[in-house]
Order: sequence, then C-alpha cells, then structure tokens
Amino acid sequence: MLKGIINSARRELFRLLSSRKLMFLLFAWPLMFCSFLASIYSAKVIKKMPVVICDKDNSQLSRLAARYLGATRSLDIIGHVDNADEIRQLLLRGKIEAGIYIPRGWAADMKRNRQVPLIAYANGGNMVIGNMITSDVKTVAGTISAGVRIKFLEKTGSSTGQAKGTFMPVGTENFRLFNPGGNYMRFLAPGLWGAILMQVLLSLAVIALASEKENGTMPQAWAAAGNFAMPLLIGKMIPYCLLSFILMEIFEFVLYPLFGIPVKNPGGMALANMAFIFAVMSGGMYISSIAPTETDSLKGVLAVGAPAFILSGYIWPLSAMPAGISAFASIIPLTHYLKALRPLSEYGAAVSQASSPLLTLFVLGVAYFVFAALNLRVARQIFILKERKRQSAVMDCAEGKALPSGGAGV
Amino acid sequence: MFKTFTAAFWYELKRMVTDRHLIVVCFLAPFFYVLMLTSVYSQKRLTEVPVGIADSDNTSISRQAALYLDSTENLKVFAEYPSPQAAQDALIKGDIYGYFYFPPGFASDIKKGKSASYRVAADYMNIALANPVFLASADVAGELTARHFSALPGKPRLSRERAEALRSLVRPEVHTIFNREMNYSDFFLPGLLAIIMQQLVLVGLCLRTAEDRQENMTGDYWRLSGCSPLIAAAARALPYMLLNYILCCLFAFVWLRHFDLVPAHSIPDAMLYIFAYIAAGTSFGLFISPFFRRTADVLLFLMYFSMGAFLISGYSWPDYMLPAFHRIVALPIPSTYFMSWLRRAYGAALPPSYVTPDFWILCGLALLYFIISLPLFRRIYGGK
Repeated sequence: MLKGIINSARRELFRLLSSRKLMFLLFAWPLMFCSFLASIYSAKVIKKMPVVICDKDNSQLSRLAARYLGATRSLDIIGHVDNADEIRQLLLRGKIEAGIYIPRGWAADMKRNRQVPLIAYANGGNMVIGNMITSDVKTVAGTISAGVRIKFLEKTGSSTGQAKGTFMPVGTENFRLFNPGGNYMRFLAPGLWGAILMQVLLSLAVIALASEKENGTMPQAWAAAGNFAMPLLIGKMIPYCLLSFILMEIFEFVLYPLFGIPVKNPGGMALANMAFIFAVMSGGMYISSIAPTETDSLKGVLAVGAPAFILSGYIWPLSAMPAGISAFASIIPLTHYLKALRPLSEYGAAVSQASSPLLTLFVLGVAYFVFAALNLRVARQIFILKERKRQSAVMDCAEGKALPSGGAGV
Repeated sequence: MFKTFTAAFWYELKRMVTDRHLIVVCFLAPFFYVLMLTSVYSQKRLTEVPVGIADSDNTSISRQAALYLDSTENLKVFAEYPSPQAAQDALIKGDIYGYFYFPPGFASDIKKGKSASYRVAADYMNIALANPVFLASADVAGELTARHFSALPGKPRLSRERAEALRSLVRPEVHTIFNREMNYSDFFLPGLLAIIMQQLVLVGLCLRTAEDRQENMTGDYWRLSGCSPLIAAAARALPYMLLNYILCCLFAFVWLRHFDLVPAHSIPDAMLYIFAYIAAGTSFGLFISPFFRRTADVLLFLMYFSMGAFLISGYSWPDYMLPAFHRIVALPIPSTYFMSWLRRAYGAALPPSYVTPDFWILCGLALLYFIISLPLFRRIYGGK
C-alpha cells in the first residue's frame, strides 16, 4: 500500500510540476487575486463621505454643530444648501451620502431647555454608509447636549464633576474588541482570502482526478496505485496538500503582515490551514469522483464555492439563516475554517478554544475522503465488469457471433 | 439574410435547451443561486444577537439593566458570567458576540447622583454584528438615565418626558433614504441578484463557444450563419439575452416582492434599465467567449469573476474609496453602472434624468462589445 501511495504521489507531483496552468492556478493566481481584493479596502475605513448642511438657524451653536460634524472621521462637509429638498435631490443624484438639516430656532430652543432635533438624511441604500452616518450624528448630538447642559449647570454653581453626574447618571464605556478602528480590511480580507483559497484548492483537487478521466489516463493512475482506491487518492492528494500548505503559509507570513492583519497564534493558524487543506482536498476528490467530466466537476466547485463566503456565517451569522441553508453551510469546509481563523489569528486564542471547528474540519475531511474512495472503487468495479463484457463480446465475435450493439464503445 | 439569422437563432435556442451543461447554467443555476442567497437574508435584520452579562454589582438596578438589554429587539442575553474575563472567553469561543459588565458600586453611584457607567464590549472583527450591540447599549443607557434622572437626590421629581428632554437636548433624527428600515436584505439582495445574472450569461455564452471549439463544430455554425460574423454573433447572443432578461425581470418584480423589495421606479422604466444591463452583459460575454478553448477553462477562470465584479462595483464599498487601479478595472464591467442605478432604484422614485448617464453608458457598452466581438467571431468561426 505504501508503495502505491509513493508511486501515485510521484506521478501526481510530476504531472503538477509539468503543467504551467496548474502551477499558475496554485501560486500566482491566488496571490494576485487575493492582493487585488484586499487592496479594495486599502483605505481601511470609509472616510470623508460627502455631506451638505442646511443651517436654517445660523447661530453660533448651529455652526459649532456643523464644525463638530465636519471634524468626525467619516463626514466631510462639502457645502451648504438652502432647503431640505435640495438635500434630497443631491442624495437622489448620488452626489452626497448625507445631508444635515438644522431648523430655525434651534439654539434658542435649546437654551430654553427644550429638546431640539438634529436632522440627518442619510443614504441607507448602503448599510455601511448608513450605519456610519447614524453613529456619527448620534455622537455629535450627544456631545452638544452634554456640552450645553454641563455649561448650564456650571453657570448655576455646580462643579464640572457634579454637572457631569447630574447630566448623565448612566454612561457606557464602549470597547471595540480586536478591531478598535473598525478597519474593514481586517474585517473582510481574511474571509475573502479563505473563500478564494477554497475555490482554488477545490479546483485543483477536481482537476487532479477529473483530468485523468478526461485524458483516458485513469488505468495508468490505477496501476501506479497498485489498483487500490485509498493509495490512489492519498497519492494524488499529497503533492497538492504540501504545495497548498506552502501557499497558505505564504499568506500567513507575507500577505497578512503586508496588509497589516495580525496573526496572533501562527502555530494555531498553521494547524487550521492543514485541517482546511485536508477537508477541501477530500471534498474536491469527492466531487470529482461523482462527476463524469472535468467540466461537470468544475460545475460542482462553482455550485459550492460561489456562495460559500455568504453562507459561511462570516458576516451574517448562521443562526440568522434558515435551517436548510445553515445545514448546507455546515458541510462546506470554509464555514468551519473561518470559524477557527478569527480566534486564532485575531484574538490570539489557544488551539483548544478553536478545537470544535478544527475537529469538524477533520471529520469532514475524513468523511469526504471515505466517500470518494468508495465512489472510485465502485466506478472501477463497473469499469472492470464492462471491460470483461467487452472482452467476451470480442471473443464471441472472433468465434463468428455478431457483436452486441454498443459493445465497441465500452 | 433574415432566413439565415432565423435558422441560426433556432439552432442556438435548441442547443440551449438540450445541451446538459447549458441547461444547468441557464435554467437550474439561476434558481439555485437566487433562491438560496435570498433565503440567507430572509430575516432581513440582525435581531437577537447573543450577548453575555457579567454583573459584579448584582443590585436591582443592574438586574433591571440586564432585563432591558434582553428585551431589546437587537439583543438576547445568552448567559450570565461570573467575570468579564469569563465573558470574553465565551466570546472567543464564539458563544456570544458581545458582553456587558456592571462593576461593583454601579447602582450606588447612580443613587448618589454620580456618573456611573457600565462596560460594553463587542467583537468588532464582525462590524455588522457589533453595531446592533452598541446601538442597543446606547438605548438602554438612555432609558436608565431618563429613569434615574427624574429621581435624583436633591432635585425636584421630573416627568419622564422632561427628564428625557433635559438629558438629551439634541435629539438625533436620522432619516434614511433608499433603505428606510436599514434591512440587510434590502441592501444586499438586488446587488446579488444582478451579479448572479451577469455571471450566468457570461458563463453560458463562453461555455457555448468553447463547446464549439472543443468539438470542432465552428465550421458548421459558420456555414449555418451564412459565413456572416454579424449573424453568427447576433444569433448566438439573442437566446441568452432573452432568457436572462425574462429571468431577471421575474426575480426583480416577482421574487424580490416576496421580501417587500419593489422598485420605486415605474415598471417600464425599470424594465428598460434591466434590458440595457442584460444587453451589455450579453455583449460582454460575446466579446470574452472566443478567448476560451475548453469548457473547463471557462468555469475555472470565470468562477472568480462575480466576486471581484461585485466588490469593485461600488455597491458595498463606495467607489470613491476604491484605489484608482480598481476603479479603472471596474470601468469596462457592465455591473458597475447597473449597481449605481440599482442602489437607488429600490428606495426612491428617481426622475429619469437622474439615471440616464448610467443607462446610456450601458447601451454604449452593449454596442461596443458587440462590434468588437465581430472580428473575433470571424477569426474563431471563419478561420480568418
């Protein structure tokens, strides 16, 4: 069996190294494409969104509010307009992301201790933008409220501490864990990279097996593996697993630092990479074992790979998905890899804290491997039966009987 | 000429409904992807995000705060932890997405009229999940403040409204245009739908051309189309364009209605816009199809296209924040222009003058790609 594995692995390594297309797909393409995707978020956060102000009050306080809004990280006051309708028109045209409206009598009402609105019209068509504007407008409203109240209480003889306590007995200390700056690169890039790597590895795995079927070289592959399914599969997977591991370590030690994404537990991440590669390669072998051609195998990769990122729970949690969808997501290796990746790379968690998704990846890998081996075995048995039938038909023909229809094509 | 075109068109149509690869790509895949991806966002908004409570104060006020948190739409208290560290461990394990820590003396500080605060920590590696935690926390802090502000020692008792007005003199009022309820489904689904349809028309056309080349059938199709690249390209594109258009309208006007997503545009305006998009996508597919020799190569290389096209279209990450290189790469892709209309079309009735630039660009792209695909068709099919 060991000899079969070694022969098969040697044969596959030669096939892989002699194919420029496969080498491009394995190394150059993922590095190029993943860098391209990550650099979309090179600005890291959305800054200086174009905003206009309609200041009907035109008081010292309303101008202060406008200055505060302009000083936030995400908003950039690009101009002033005369009425709310102009704000709406500019929003519809896509010229601005938000417009702030300060009504007449705003400061005067506030000085009389009456509640006043700070009105923002925001582009909610993009949730990222809508949320940032909402958050900044709330912060500025809170700051102005606090400032005015504290100033008022100080004037009436309270100390700053007393004034603060009287104004806001309950406050919150917000901690943005692991990504305090709200950096979208750190949020999205590792997930996108995982999704791309899964598609690349799945494609390579299906090509490894399906191309043999397509080129009619399956008998040689069987012969190299001693006619056993397990050595054939293991031998085919070894070169891809080793080279994929090198690729993923290049990601870990080059791409992650290059894009400023920390890897806090490199050993744990390497372990997750290994489990991921095993599960994906086995999954690819399984797809390819049931698909008749290379094109059919790649259609399978597309069916699983294209929605995998959305289904992975990386952004939208699995618990918020319908049961059938989350069940489908749970048989995709990416779901569990990304579940392990965040704690290991970003939180600095120990391997034991990510043991559940790692174990699931391993179990998935074993299950796919066993199914692929069984499928291959059955396919081979069918092939042998057909071959025997064909040989007996040829012998019958030689003895003068008619050739059964379709027999020549088996 | 018309007769030749009709013959070639019927041949293509027949091929589309009988070839097993094309049946999967043109008929099964649209329903598979659209139904699956839309059902991911069937909940529309993130609600009941699991959070933990670490209550070291253990007073009626801190317990009341925990109850408030649990009763908000955004949050669900998953468990109580003895310390913030235990809660953080649960967060790392993935049991919760955030936690609240009430320190000792929290309630007594409030009763004394001192400023008291509780700690909110959320996993900001998932910004989409952390935002509801912070928003709910701000609401609960406001609720507690208003409640206890009205009963501070040494102050006359105030009504809740008066206390609220004094606490928050400036009330933020954010009116979102285009997605009033800030639903994730309203944000993502139209964009996903558009990108899926573009992807499928590209894959379908490229597969079809690659099949001809792989099976050495280019000569047959060339003769059938009267050795005219115009007829060959038009008859090839038309069945895919029509099918894609019908499916796109079906999803946009029937299926998305199921998610309360209705284009605010008039239906004929929207249909015209979708038509320009599908025409540009089909011509783009026609243009790239001669570059593939094998059907497997089509799938191998185009499987990455949709993700890239979606991310650089400006749909989720605004185009003015994209690096210049990405903006240039996005320029020849039809979805870039369609997304710009789509983001707004589902939220507000746009006057036609506001969207026509994108519409004309799509029409221009459709024409341009069709024209430049003609010499490529002549080269591949006519052997010149």
